[in-house]
Amino acid sequence: MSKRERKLTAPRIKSISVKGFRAYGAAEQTLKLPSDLTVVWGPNSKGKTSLAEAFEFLLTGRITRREFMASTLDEFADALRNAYLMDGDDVYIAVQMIAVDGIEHEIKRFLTGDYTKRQDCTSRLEIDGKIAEEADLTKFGLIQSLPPFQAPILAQHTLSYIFSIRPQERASYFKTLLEVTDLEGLRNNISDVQEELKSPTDQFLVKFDNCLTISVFKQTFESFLHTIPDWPTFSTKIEDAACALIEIVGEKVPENLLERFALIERILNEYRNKVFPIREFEYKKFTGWTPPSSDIWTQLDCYLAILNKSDNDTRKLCSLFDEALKIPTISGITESISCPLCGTSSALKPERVQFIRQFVNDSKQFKTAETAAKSALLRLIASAETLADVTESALPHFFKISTIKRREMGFTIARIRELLGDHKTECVKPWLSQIRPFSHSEIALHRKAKAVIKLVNEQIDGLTSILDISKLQAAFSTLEALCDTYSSEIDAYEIKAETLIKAINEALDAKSDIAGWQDFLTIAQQPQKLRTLLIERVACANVGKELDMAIRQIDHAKEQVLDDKFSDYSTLIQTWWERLRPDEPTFFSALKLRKGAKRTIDFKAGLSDKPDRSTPKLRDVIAVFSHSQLHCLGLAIFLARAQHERLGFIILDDPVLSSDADYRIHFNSTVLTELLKLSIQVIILTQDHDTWEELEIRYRHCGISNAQIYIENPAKGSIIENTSDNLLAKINRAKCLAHGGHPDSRKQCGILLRDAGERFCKEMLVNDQIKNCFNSASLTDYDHKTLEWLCPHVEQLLNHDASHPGKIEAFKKIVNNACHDNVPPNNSEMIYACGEIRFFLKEYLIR
Amino acid sequence: MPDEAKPKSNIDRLLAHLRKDSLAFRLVETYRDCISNNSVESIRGVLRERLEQERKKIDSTKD
Repeated sequence: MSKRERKLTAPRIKSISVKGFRAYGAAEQTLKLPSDLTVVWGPNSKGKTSLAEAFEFLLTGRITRREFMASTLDEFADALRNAYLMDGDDVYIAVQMIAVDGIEHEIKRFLTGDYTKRQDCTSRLEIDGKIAEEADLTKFGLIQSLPPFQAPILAQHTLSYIFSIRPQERASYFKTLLEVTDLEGLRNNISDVQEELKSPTDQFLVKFDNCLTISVFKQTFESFLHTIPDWPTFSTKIEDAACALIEIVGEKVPENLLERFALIERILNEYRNKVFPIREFEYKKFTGWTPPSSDIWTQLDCYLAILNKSDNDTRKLCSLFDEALKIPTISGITESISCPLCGTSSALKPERVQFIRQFVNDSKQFKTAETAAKSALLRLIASAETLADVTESALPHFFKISTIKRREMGFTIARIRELLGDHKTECVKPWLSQIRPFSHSEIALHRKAKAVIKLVNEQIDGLTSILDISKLQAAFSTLEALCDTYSSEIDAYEIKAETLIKAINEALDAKSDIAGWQDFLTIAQQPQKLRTLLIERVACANVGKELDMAIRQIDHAKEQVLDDKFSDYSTLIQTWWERLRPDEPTFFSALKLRKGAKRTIDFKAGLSDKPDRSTPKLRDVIAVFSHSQLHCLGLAIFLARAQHERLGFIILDDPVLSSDADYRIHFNSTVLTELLKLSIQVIILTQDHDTWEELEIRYRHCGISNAQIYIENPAKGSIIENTSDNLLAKINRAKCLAHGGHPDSRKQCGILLRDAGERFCKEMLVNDQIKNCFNSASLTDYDHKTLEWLCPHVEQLLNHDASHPGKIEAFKKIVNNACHDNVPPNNSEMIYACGEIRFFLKEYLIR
Repeated sequence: MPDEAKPKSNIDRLLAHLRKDSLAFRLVETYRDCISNNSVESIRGVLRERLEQERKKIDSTKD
């Protein structure tokens, strides 16, 4: 690798080497490409197309001719490897190129497996000797088009392809033109975000919308759908709305806002009850029940313990003993005395008195425990009564009145259904189904509470004989479980009842001409929240509309983008067409996307009998173009594509038909000149010898290189001879330029003469080496050697005359000056230098 | 090929057909500039900003 001074916008191919590929044999053949324009001549079937296909294979790892020419793919089996190649011989194509990074690289692809009847070929790509992927090629500026023709190669099958397929299938060739996936991506992104931009769906706003049905609010509230006034104005309007509502029913408007809301609430209920006894649904919220605390059970346990310690009959003597102990002789006893009750002598001893005193004390403790136990039992009764009360009061009113009374009031299922109408009766059934379990749980709980109260009362009555704490605790546990069930049932009932009540209220409000009042009460009490939500809704609606419009604009612009691209591309094709076939009455007019069909492409020809081609008749090219014109249009399309895709180089395999001399001159002159102006490196492969010669003469001024391809022995394959490298060819080309009037021609002459001089010196040195038995000597041994180095080494070999070393030195000075950026050489200097080098050639090399 | 001769991208062509003061132009421009990042988030950002402007505009309306 060697580095150049500056980076390029497109790569430059310096040489193409082929070995064993199709027509090419075991010896590597190299086409040198020192110039931007190279023309290669070769008769038919001598390896031109193989060279073009080798290059396609290098870039893509396949050849498209297999897909477009072979009637069945299996006919292309074993097509790539040269038939005469020995087993084990490599098959490859390599290019030396200056890539866009300004560095010289070698790109090489080996064929590792040929096409078989069923399988594709396989290959290995290497860049600078390292295995690489196809994607790496783009890093070096080797741009590939989209399939089917990815490589920048024009072959006969490429030319005919675009017209041999249906208009609908042409889209694949013009895929880059139709390619707007980035715009579709943009459109999808915006659509995704558009989905997210939805107005808030808060229930609060639903209530606001319901208020729009209230006639006195209509004008004010409808304006809020578009414009939201500032906060003071907004809150005043809400307050005014409350006043307007009260004034409708002829009530006096209270000063205080909260009082106004309370009045509206009252009015609402009155209106509703006039139509239906809605209050019968009311109930006191069930706040729950706390079971008896543990200290109650502790007190009862304590009582039972004391009770078990004493006898019930003995406890009846307690007051008698207490009185006896008050007698001084007994209370102050120190020794045995006679019993005051029975008179028995010395019967009452101090120990007996002490026993009696202890007994009296125990009896007093029992009394205290008994009182506490009674109190605890009473608390149990209170707890059970509380539970019975709260459960009863949590019942809706209609539970507590008789069926007859309910019917008299009009509180019936039939009436509810009638009120709701058909479309809302679905909330009645769930409510009804919840009444039964709710009612059953309440009845069970109430009954149990009463039974527990009765049990506790019995325990109080038989406190000293039948107190059974376990029985009481079990009863209260049952009560607690029933309370839990009741609580769950009432919760379930409330959910169903609320839905029903809401529906009934709405129906009542509608019948009472108070629809929306309830909703107004809700939103009017939180005006700031309402205003914030309304602002959000209006903002979302406005931006949503703006976004809708933006999307429409983008969609419209997207269509215009396609039109623009087709128009630009059409203009490019027209330009190349006019360069190939100027001023013809039948001409290429436009490339068009068929209206209504997104991917159908038509080529339109214009037919005009007027010199300025005005008001042409438009037809499809297939209908009116000759074979020659279609061929020419295919070439124009290829060149337009190369320009559009900014390809750095192209290979044209017989771009002009042999039979088509009409536009060959335009191709050779105008088209190639324009391609060179676009800095596109062009390699032309032609079977037409006249073209080869003409191009060599026409583009001599810009250093055109030429080569020939031929086959001497089929087993050895195609041979490439780089004829512009030939010394006599170099001198002849320089001689033509030496007479040129333009300074650039003379300068180019100087460059050619310098090359010729270097070549002469190298051949002299090689001949000398061979003469001295160095048979392996080659011109490449002196690669990169300039005249500065070569001349001194050759001087000693120029021994036919003493003047010759001086002449070669003078020649060197003239051509070096001509090549540098000083004054352009004059004609006589160049003619003289041509004569000198031709003389040396004849004197020393041609014998 | 010189830079000025480079073909226009689809997005640039699209922008050429949109008014510069339009929301459409801003969305496309944002998408172009953020194409390698999260473009949806960028578009969302433009709309969020636009929504905020609209909220402020509505909020400051004098009756």
